[in-house]
Amino acid sequence: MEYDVQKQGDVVVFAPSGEIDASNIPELQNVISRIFQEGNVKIVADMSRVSYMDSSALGVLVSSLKEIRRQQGTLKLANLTGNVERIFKLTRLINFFEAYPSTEQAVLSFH
Amino acid sequence: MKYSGENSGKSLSFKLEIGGSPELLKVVRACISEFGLAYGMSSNEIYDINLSVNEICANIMEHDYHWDLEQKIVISVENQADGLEIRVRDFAPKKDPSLFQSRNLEEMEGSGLGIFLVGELMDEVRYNDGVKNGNEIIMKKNHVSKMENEYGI
Repeated sequence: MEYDVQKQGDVVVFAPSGEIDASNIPELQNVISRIFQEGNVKIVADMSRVSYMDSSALGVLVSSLKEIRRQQGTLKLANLTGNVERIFKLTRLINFFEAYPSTEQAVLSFH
Repeated sequence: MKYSGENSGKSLSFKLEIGGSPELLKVVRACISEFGLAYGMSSNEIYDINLSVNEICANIMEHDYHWDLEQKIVISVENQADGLEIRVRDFAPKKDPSLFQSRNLEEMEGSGLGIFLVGELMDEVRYNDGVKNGNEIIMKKNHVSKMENEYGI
């Protein structure tokens, strides 16, 4: 898994790419934790370049969202497509997150 | 990791033997993807099978083997007339077969989400009671005709 992190005003856009499974889940967890520990509570996960994710990745996103919400922030999703979107819908976790069709819309939604 | 393939003239199959390392999950997915493509399965079907096998294997690696590389998981894939049958065999202590029965999402906690996904994505999931040493999960993904795949007919 590779990832980009960009700051757009007070919103951090985090974009993982590739396959996310049990082999790289600690990395995903560390990146989100680091963003959060640096004081950022408005976070967007751009999922456009994630080609595969399993339940451990879903678990990390859910636990991160809970943690960030405790600090009055939130983690929003952008660009969910294909099978990744299907997994979010199947598990109904799509209802747990705010999801937007583009990163721009997700960032704007904070303002 | 060991690999073996067989073509009996009736159905093609292959078997993978892996250790308890999560790094090997992507290797398993790559093998299943190639096998599925060879049989004209759609990318959605291949994704479903890969995710299901991934969930079962990752569960064994984490909860039974505690990521021990020396422990074995055997994955057998066979193309049958009506679908792809996948068997995932481990050598851990016996599990409660009810863990693999389909349950409501609301009842799931923690790793239960993975098992829920397997039940949703595969056409058949059952625990093989006949295995003496360890556990075996048998999953089936029925073939969908090409017309159905491409045109929704």
